[in-house]
Amino acid sequence: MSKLELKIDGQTLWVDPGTIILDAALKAGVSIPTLCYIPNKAIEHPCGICVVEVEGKEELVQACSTLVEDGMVVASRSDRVIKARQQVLEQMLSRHYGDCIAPCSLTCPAGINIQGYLSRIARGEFIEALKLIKEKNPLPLSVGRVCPHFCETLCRRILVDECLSINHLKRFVADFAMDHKDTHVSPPPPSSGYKVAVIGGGPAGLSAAYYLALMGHEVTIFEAMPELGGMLRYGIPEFRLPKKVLNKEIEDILRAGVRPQTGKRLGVDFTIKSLKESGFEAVFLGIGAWQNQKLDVEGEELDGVLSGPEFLKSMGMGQMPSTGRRVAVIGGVDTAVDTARTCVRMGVDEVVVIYQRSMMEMPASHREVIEAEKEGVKFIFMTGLTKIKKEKDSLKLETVRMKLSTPDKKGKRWPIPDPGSEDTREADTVIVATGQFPDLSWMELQDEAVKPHVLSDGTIITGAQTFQTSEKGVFAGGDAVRGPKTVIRAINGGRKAAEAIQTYLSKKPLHRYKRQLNFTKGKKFEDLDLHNFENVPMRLGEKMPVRAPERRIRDFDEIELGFTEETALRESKRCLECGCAALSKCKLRKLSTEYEVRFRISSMLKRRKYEINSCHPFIVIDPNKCIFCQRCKNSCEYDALELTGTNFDNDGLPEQISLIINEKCVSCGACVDNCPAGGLSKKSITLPVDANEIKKVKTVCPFCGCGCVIELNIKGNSIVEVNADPEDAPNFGNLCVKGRFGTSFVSHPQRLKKPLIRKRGYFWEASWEDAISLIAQKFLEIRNNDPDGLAGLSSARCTNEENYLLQKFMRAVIGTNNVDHCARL
Amino acid sequence: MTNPIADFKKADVILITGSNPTENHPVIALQMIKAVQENKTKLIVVDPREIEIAQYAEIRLRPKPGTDVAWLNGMMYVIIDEDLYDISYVADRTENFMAFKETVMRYNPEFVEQVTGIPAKDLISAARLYAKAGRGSIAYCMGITQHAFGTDNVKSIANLAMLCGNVGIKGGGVNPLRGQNNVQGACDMGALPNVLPGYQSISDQETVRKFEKVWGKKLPAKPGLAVTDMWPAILEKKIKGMYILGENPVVSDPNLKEVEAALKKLDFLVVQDIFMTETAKLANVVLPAASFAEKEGTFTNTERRVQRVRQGLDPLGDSRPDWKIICNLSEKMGMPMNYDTPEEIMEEIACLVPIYGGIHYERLNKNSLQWPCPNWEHPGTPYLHKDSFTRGKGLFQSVESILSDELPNEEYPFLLSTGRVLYHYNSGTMTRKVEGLNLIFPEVITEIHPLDAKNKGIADGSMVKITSRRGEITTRACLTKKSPEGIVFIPFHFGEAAANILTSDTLDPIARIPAFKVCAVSVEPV
Ligand code: SF4
Ligand code: SF4
Ligand code: SF4
Ligand code: FES
Repeated sequence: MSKLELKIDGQTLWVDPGTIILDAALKAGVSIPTLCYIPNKAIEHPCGICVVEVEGKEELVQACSTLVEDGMVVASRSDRVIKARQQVLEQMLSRHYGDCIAPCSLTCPAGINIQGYLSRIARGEFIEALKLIKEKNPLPLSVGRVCPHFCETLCRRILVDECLSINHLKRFVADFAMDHKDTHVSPPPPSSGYKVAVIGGGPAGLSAAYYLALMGHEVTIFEAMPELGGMLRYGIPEFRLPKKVLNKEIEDILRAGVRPQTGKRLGVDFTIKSLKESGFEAVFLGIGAWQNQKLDVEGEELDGVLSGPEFLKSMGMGQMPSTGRRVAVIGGVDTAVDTARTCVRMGVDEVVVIYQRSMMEMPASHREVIEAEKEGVKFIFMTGLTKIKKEKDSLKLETVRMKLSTPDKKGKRWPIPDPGSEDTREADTVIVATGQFPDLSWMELQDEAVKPHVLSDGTIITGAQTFQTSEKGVFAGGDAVRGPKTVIRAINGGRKAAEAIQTYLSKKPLHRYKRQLNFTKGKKFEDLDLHNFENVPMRLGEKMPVRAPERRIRDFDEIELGFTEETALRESKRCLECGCAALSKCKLRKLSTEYEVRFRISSMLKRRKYEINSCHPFIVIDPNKCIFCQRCKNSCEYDALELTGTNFDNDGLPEQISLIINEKCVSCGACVDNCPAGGLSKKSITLPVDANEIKKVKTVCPFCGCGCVIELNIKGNSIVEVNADPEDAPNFGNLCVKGRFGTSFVSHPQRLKKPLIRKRGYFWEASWEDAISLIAQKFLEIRNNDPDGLAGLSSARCTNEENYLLQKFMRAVIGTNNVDHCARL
Repeated sequence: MTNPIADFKKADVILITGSNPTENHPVIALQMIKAVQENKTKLIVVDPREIEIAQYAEIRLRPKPGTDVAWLNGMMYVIIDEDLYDISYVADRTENFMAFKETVMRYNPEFVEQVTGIPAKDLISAARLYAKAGRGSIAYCMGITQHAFGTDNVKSIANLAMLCGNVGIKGGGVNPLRGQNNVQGACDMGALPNVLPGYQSISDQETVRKFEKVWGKKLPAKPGLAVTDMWPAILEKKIKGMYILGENPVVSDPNLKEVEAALKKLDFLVVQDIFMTETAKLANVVLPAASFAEKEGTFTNTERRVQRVRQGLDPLGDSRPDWKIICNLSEKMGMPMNYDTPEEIMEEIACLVPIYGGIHYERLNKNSLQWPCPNWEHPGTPYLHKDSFTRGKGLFQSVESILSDELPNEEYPFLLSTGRVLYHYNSGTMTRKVEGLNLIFPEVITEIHPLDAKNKGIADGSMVKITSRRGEITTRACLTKKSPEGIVFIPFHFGEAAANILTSDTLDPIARIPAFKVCAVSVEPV
């Protein structure tokens, strides 16, 4: 037979007659997207995503069903084609109702896979949960204590009863690992040969250093203070974050291979220039924001007027500044509240916080404000300070009531003094904590040649996604860039900068990340139909046990006591698992991202159209996410999947679909692995992850003698799911229920984890050394008497190598042929 | 298997007997069904029970249990009688035909009908279909081997295949479907009392010297005991200590009361497994083994395909791969085994075991290989006996039908057959730890024909007591026409009501395989 000539995107090739355009394109290395296509199956309602333009044909044609004709000229990526594909996707999207990623994870500034770690906690896999957290946050002990938990504010569970206590659970797993001395730190990878300097040992610096070290770089942290920790040590008081805990956290980071250089101040002991000269290829500036904002009122410079950050810093260094009986704290940031609460613990009789707006506008965490009130701190809102005067041994504060101005052009209202409401009050010490900015005095130095550009508020300018400053090879993140923000933001900045540095060091261009498209059932609670939550039984959240205010103000010990294993298990099981279990396989999301399909939430479905059906033991059917590609039906070999559509509209999509698995189903799972969206998903996937986070390992099914090749999809130390490659003999992509769904036994809690020795009728855990010694001794006793007094049974479940070794052991070490295995066929 | 799995699709006819592929080998079953649907392959299913794949069959025969040699001989009678056999193949490639023919010619269809209950005309059409179709494949499983005379059954099957020239050709062959993932490998590796790795004889001096040289130890000359002979030996105090890897004989062995009594009598028992199995509970020391996903190595499947097992997970807790534990123990006992990786073990295997001579990880990492694969250049052997038999000529062996000594009588009027179901595996150690599988198949059941049930006053789903000469268990009844009248079926995956309490440990004299498949029982409502 003669070959046919075909030109595709400018390439010429020859193919056999009977070849479809899709396969021909593949031969030319041109990939055409498909959704409904299954080789050698006629598709009743083609999806149309695979269209291409053929010269001389008016209509676009489907590459998956059109045969190549001699002399054909095909364009697979013309504007027309792209438009058509976008349209197909848009149509599908407008009927798709789901959340790709749970709102909690999307709200977390560090993007931690929250739903994932909650599910691991729920399964009792605490260390695995912690590993997931540490992918994005290397300071879970600290963040678990001090984070204002943005994630919880959008937790969907509040539409049922209360949101989840996500941050408390994070703290729980971090504490669990600390208490069990399970550091799960993997040994540092081989060195990349690059040296990176991190300036500043606070959250941003520690985070950057940790991830850089994991990438194999030689990282040194330069810290001006005597110890690492930055704000965590010198800005957050002991009763919120004990130093003992912080030290443990830092120890774990250093163990990843980070070298600390403490007591080394930028501009005093070294400059960026000097670092570069001594061989550091990249520098990360995580210098924080330590400079206190001025109040601009008369008397600010008087004795007895202190700066909040300085005050907390000396506390962190183990000193206790004297304050007198009455303290007035000025400001509304977290530092103000922490300062006030510290004063209470120092035995100050009267602690007030004066803030010029209302509690609603206060940047400090409201939960902390409430706790502070319980401890006796008095908050005076809507009050401004106008003057401080020295009077005998105390200070006199002149204040004024504030009111809100009429809205400015942007509609914002500012506090302005209310004339005639002037007042005075007395204090022994005034502590100012109104906000901070980075200390950039080092830039003034003569021998510092590297001076990144800064904004008028004193923060350093960097590329939004490149994290590089105006100076090449100098990166920055954390409070030094964004101004004083939360710890988790600084950590995120540090990690992202580490990634950017990695790209920089590997001499690749610093790029902008293409954001994956995320469907959502609604960004705001108002968008969400309560009907979706009808069947969820109410169960209120677990409460964090705290020490009573009247006890805790007498010492600096930690206030919150932490969840127990039981509370953690109960709380984590409340999670509604909002994110999609089909995330890693979803082609719809991938293509929609690739083709930059825009969709408006307003035009999307507002409520669930179909009930989600989880009657099948392994498969969840969610027709709300079905794109009607019919792959499930077409891949089922057992005639067990019934998919019908009714009332087809102009786009060829059905108004109403019905998707049922009938009693012929043998749970082979072909359908669910063929579904390119979330219409069918596996019940066992409780950890939604992106495809690129999954490690794939090909191995052999441990069940029957057919020996199917299976592909384990692994995340952390557990199997997320199992599928099979159509290319591999002997099963060519087919699997049975056991291969596809039956391997979860490997992480069953009842797995044996320690050698056991029976003593007085009971099993006791033993070390390997003891167990092996005991066996050796007993076997030797029997053997020395009569080698045939011992027998060995090997197993069809062991590998060839192991079977070989057992018979070698019996024959050569024991000296008997008493060796067999149990099954004969 | 003499032929690869993919070959079922190339067959013109497949004779399936003593195998329930849709339950036990679902992926193979799928290929057989596709062969029927897409390639017009014909199926002959011979099984006492109404198994699922029978709905695709052209001809189905339901012999009485334990009469396999009779119907096989009967089929061959017809084939010889009607001159349907492959004369040139028989002449060129086999021997002993005349003696064999003499035996077979005593089994005319009418006689066979009396013994097996298969109508003579059905037997004749089955014989014609198998003999006349071009490429004929035979697939069998434990229903054939787990008999007091399983070896006879297997010989008989080989006779039939040779008679029609179906051995050594594409789409043909004699294809035992191995039940457990690496039972083939366990045999290949010499986890057998009478042969060294690669089925090399322990009495062949040259072989023994080869092993002794590499192992640096003198080998024992006396053949060992098969597993089924070990239990009595323990009770007689001949065996005092045992080392059991990954097996659960307390649930999976026949006559397990005796097994349990024997294990309890041991002075010292070591069990190495991933779960606390019924057997492990009797041990003096239990060692935690790594699961298949936590180690490197190879498995050999039923078509002799050696494939790489790859590690995906870290071993859970303090568990260790079995090979490492054996090395640890061996070292403690004064004979260090210095392997750092399973690959090093495979290198030793390759140099000692000719059929694995060309099997190296470097090759396996790219492709699986089917043994025999004697050297680096050899591509592996998908088809056994292609041009000649291993022994030269194929040997016809005369086999006579013997009746089981476990026939039903008044006291035990039913025949019990045991086996697997799709949703579980062996003693259930692994599958019963999977939620979804337990949901589908939560507990042991006894399948019984509705008419039998009616006579006994048993309702679907009610509890029944099954008693044999060796013990009794209680299960739920499941009324189904899958079992013919007079036969009940119980899956053996369930430790709490282990079917093997009932079964007989009468052994096949050669293969030492217990007769799981024939056992007389009584069934009474509780
Ligand atoms: S219910 Fe669970 S997944 Fe959903 S937002 Fe809350 S924590 Fe996240
Ligand atoms: S699990 Fe298998 S049998 Fe069941 S519906 Fe899906 S493809 Fe069909
Ligand atoms: S359930 Fe999945 S495979 Fe089936 S039609 Fe819907 S999107 Fe396609
Ligand atoms: S029409 Fe070609 S992939 Fe759907």
